[in-house]
Amino acid sequence: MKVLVIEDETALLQDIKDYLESGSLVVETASDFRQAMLKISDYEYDCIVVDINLPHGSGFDIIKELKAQKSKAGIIIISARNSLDDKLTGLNTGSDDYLVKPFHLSELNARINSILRRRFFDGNNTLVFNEINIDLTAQTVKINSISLILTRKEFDLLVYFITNKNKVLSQAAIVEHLWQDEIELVDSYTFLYTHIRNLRKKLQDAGCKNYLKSIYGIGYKWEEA
Amino acid sequence: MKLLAITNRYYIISILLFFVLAGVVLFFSIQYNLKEELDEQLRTGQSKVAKAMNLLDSVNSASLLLNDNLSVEKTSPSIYLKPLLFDSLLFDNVEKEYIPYRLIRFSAKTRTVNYIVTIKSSEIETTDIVYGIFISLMLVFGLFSVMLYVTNYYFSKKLWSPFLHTIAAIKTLNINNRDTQFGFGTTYIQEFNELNISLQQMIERIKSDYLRMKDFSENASHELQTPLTIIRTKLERLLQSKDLNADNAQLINQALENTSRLSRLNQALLMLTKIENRQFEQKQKLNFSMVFDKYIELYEEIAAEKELNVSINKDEDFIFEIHPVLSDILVSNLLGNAIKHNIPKGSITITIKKDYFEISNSGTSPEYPTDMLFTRFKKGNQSSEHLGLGLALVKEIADTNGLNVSYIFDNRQHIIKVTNTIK
Repeated sequence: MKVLVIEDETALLQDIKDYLESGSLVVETASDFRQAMLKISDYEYDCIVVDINLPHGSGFDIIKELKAQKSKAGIIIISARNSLDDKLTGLNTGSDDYLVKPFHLSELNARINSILRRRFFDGNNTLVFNEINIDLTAQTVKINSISLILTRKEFDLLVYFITNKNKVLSQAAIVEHLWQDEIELVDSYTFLYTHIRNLRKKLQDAGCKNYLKSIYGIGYKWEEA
Repeated sequence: MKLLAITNRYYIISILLFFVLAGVVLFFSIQYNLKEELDEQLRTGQSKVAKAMNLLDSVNSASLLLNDNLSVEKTSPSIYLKPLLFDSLLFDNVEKEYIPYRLIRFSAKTRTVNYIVTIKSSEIETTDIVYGIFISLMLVFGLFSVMLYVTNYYFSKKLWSPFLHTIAAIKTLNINNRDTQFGFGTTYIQEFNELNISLQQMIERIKSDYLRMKDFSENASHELQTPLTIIRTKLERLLQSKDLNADNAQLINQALENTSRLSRLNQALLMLTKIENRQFEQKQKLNFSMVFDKYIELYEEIAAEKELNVSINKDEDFIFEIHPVLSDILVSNLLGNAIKHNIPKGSITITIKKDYFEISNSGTSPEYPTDMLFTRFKKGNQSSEHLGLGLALVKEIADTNGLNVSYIFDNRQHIIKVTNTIK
């Protein structure tokens, strides 16, 4: 899967590229409007991550161009603007998602993967990790052939961990992913701890290996044994 | 009170005062003058009578019958009376009643006899004349005042109309809108023209300052988000490195957590600025029952985890005109606080009435004076994760939209009441 990231801050661009590439994505970058327009006319990408404020032009025009080309690429806007109006304008131009800066790299990665799965594996939207088989459309999980009943949050956690496998995920990033707008309401990380404990127990009971490592004082890491 | 009403009020009061004063002065001056006139006549009568009597030997009483205003009385020669003017009520045989008279009494003598002469003159006519003149003058005055009042009313109305026009123009003014031009028009009244011109200049200056400040605060907070994102991604990458010891990892994690806090703080302050700048003026009529339903559903899970019992009492609808973003912030912050500052297995009760809504939740007693509750950055635990801006946002929204927020702690319940102040 090939992703184009358009962002004028090169320091940020490099971090995004490195993080996404350590997954299974191929990442191209563009740091201004002209470069981005050249790249999208040259090559068909599966997903495009675009910042709105760019040198020499606006990210909205890039999205318009993509729509004119009838591109199949999924589009994620990354912007510092957080107002409802900005989000609606972004989504109305035909983008699939809108991520407000500052975001966690793990969150961007999760969102890109979610869009890619929805766009390119329709009908068979599954995520497989060794003995774990997740059907994202039906929202069901099987360990080998044993069905697992998970709550919404446990399900989200599992998908998030597997999408960001082999990465250290801070508690802050996980909490923000799970609760997003309600983040202010979640006192400390006790909520998260409860959910993770339950998920762990359910996986273990179904005979799943323990892939989830706790990193003391920081967070968690989903690691291939 | 309206300008026109005030001028009219003073006008009427001064006219009434003038009327009373003028009435009194007029009445007494006319009366005085007429009395003087009467006295003058009586004195003339006196000298005529005295002169006439000087030519006579004695007074023939038959001649007196011709004039019943004149009476004479014989006296001894030694008595001399100085002429005396006085009032008296005398019985009138024709009218069968007492009538006020002005009289003059004096000594006069013929060639042989001394007399005391009294000449009387009825005051009835004078009084009638006084009243007649008084009433007709008052009528003229009254008519004059009414005419003055009416012309003054219409002139004032006409004179002040450019001023009222200017006020109307100011009322509809929205400096938030970049494209509006403010035209106050021109009038033939120089002072109002000057007022309009200075207002125009002042508003243009305020508008440009305001827009610059607005752009600055928005840009500043947006520009902050980008370096924050870079800091965060760098720290996250650092967290991934293999040769990181546990202590260093924790330091990085703490720094990371504070980038989130900083970012949320920035967002909340930006929102406060936007509300203060009244950037949410497109209001619509909203039913708060529905806003509450939305957030109760959204927070259901979190409330369930704290085992809170949430109940809503909405037999009446609270309908209020407000920007939907603001109603969302208002309700989510209040409901969020009720969840956040609750005790495990506590309760939240929402009551919605026509003129107010109330959110009460169980909790421990407040840790600082409750009148500080709505100030920015006030929080029970200064080191807590929460920003301390939630209630400041609520207050700001309430203040700028005609709502009133009050807080009480009663019977182990935190109760926040939001009242509609627009009638």
